[in-house]
Amino acid sequence: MLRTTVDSVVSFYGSFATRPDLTTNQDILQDLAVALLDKGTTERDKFQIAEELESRGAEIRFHSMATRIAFSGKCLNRDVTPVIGICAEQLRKPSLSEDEYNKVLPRLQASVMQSMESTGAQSGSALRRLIFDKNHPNFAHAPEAEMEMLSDTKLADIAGYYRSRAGANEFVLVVVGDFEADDVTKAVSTGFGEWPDQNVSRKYDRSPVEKSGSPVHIPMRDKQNLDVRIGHAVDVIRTHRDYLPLYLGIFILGGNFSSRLMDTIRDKEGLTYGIYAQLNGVSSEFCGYFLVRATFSADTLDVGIRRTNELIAEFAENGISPEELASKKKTVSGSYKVGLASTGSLARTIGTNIISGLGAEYVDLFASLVEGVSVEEVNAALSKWIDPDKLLTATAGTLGT
Amino acid sequence: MDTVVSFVQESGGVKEYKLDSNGLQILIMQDLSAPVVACMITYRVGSRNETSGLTGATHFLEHLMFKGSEKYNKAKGTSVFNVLQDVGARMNATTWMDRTNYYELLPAEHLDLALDIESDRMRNALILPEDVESERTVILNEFDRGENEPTRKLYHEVWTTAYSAHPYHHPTIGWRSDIENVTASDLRGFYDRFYWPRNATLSIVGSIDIDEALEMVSRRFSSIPEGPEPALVTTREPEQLGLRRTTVSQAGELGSLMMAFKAVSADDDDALALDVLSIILARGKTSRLYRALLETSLASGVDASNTALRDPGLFYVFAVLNPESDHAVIEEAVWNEIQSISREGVTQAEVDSAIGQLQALEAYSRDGAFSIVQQLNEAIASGDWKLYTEYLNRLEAVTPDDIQRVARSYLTDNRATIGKYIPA
Repeated sequence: MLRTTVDSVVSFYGSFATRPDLTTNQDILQDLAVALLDKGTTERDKFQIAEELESRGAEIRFHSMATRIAFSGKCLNRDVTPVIGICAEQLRKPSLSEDEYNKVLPRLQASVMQSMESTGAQSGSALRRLIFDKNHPNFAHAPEAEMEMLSDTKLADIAGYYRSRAGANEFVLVVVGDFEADDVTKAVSTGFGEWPDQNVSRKYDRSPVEKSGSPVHIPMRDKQNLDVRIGHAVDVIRTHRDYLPLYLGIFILGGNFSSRLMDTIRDKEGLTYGIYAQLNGVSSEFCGYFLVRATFSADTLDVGIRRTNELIAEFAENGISPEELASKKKTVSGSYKVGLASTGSLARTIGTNIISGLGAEYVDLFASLVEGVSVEEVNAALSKWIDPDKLLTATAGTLGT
Repeated sequence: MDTVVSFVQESGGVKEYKLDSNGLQILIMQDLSAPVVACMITYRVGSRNETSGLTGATHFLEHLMFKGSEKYNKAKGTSVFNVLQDVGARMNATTWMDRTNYYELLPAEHLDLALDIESDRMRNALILPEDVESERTVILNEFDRGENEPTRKLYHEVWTTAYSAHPYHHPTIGWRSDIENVTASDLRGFYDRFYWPRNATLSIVGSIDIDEALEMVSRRFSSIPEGPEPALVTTREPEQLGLRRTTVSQAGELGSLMMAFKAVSADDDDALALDVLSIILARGKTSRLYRALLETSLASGVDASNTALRDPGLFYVFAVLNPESDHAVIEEAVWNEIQSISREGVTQAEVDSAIGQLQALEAYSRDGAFSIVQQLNEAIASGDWKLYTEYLNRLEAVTPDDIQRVARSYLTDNRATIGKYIPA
């Protein structure tokens, strides 16, 4: 719990481990179960709950993540007890009814169909399929396959999955804002006390397998802007000692408007509206990937990809300079602080840090840890983990004629 | 502090001052919840101020404002991005129909840097022909990104169809041919008409000492001349005489429907009733259209909103169809709900719930300095910053009769433009 001086508002963020078995598509079962969590409980239907929340202006959302189920909420301080109570009721006693399942399924299918219209979603998911095998949490299903899997699900399997996985497994709840500590303690104890643990041992791959392949293009009609994703796996987890040096190095390449990629590809050469690099999909339990994402109009696609690869190669070969690191340390530390300026972002950041094995106090340590990273550490990490020869590429959109 | 700023008024914790030398409006609020400050300058110029051939000029100019001045430019290693991101600032700019805004959210001790940059680029932007050329392809790529999205195209088509005379007719990013042909000289002309203190409002919210902040503002902005009289937009949209329809046909997967109605300007009291009506219609599971469209599996999503603008904007309902659904069925279902409200009204409980939701949203909007300046920004653009701070008090006066009256007055055939996106 963290009290802040914001007036009247309370935000919370929590999650628990579920670790779906990816080989049997339990991730799809989890997505459906999560979509059903706000559709009524064994005690009240969804409209009764919605009336309680909406009349107070309160919000609760549930999120299906790779290995966990997360939830977040926001309410006025006078409502913190009933809202945490409702959240606990939804998580612990969902009705998971046939009627609601029949309504949720087409909505999820519609959402997958909408992702099929997006060049960003199509290229991003294609790259994740290029980099990872199905048994890695960063793998992404092709939308067509996801549609088929959704159609094949049965409510009994969804309910069985949820009831066997939902529980106080590595449970984290962070509450931030303007509240009385006693109120929150009682509400959490009443709502989540004695929620039993479930066995959710890991069944997925933590590291990637070595992969190579030709560029993949997802053809789409009427998409004159093409999305490009370039990257490869990086066998580093969040608590690895190379994480922070690598994060800083990649930030110098493409973390913001004054990065190398934006400075050259957008600002000097005018080839794109946006190009970014990041270390993506890293958790305390599994590795992530180096990702460069950009958009190019059809007539600048080829030169845009070529220039991007040239800049990545130059970056990997020569590393970064002390001046760049000094500048970006200030950027990263300052923006971390700036990113904690609302109760919602503070709750989410602290919650994520705890899940990542970094601890609640990490928000206070971050700036000094960043400051302690040397140029040599960054360049050593880049040299070890970024390899231009291993880059894989996915594009989506309408190619020029 | 010397008396170079004058106190004007206070509302909702926000204090308004005026810089005596040039009339720059300053809104300032202390918020100690985090050690940051949000600084935003809002220019009262948007796509509403553009004429044929120069559509998109406001947005193009916004991009050019990051290309530098004599003091802040890339050649010297002092580009706006470099110096601000060096101190951890989150910054950007946006352009909309009635305004252009530039903002920085940064550690509180760096407020003076943000003020120096904003005061400098108010009159010293270089706007070089070579920068216009390199930025043109960037903006064309941004344009293409927008063209990729059928729902965005539908949104533009509906506005274009609804407005025949008023400049809300054209999209803020402009028509492609205008982006391709605008010159540095055109943009310089635009800059020289609108980027002056008397056409701007500076908002500062965060962990600051108000007197110190005002002293910094005074030091940075006082020497700038007030500028010419702001240009007025005098075009009024002529009365619409019947229902209008438009269709977007483009490759895609799911159809969508937008039903829009010419409504009122943001400062009209009826705007509040329309806000409440939008909640009753489409916010949350208890809303009427959730029950009519999502519970019946006709649609996979529905939204309603009253667009708050300086001149009368659109109240709209937007629905994303389910794969097997038909536009006509969804349209009929929406008309049924509108007619039910027009005929029978709404309950006091519905109004109370909607106002409760809007009250909570207002409280959430004060969670974080940046969120507060964003709200101020939209109110400034609509003509009066107090539209934000007085919103809750005015909202409490809305009654079920008001909801029925605005539904009858505005959600009618003669104000309607209905757009369909049909996947090709």
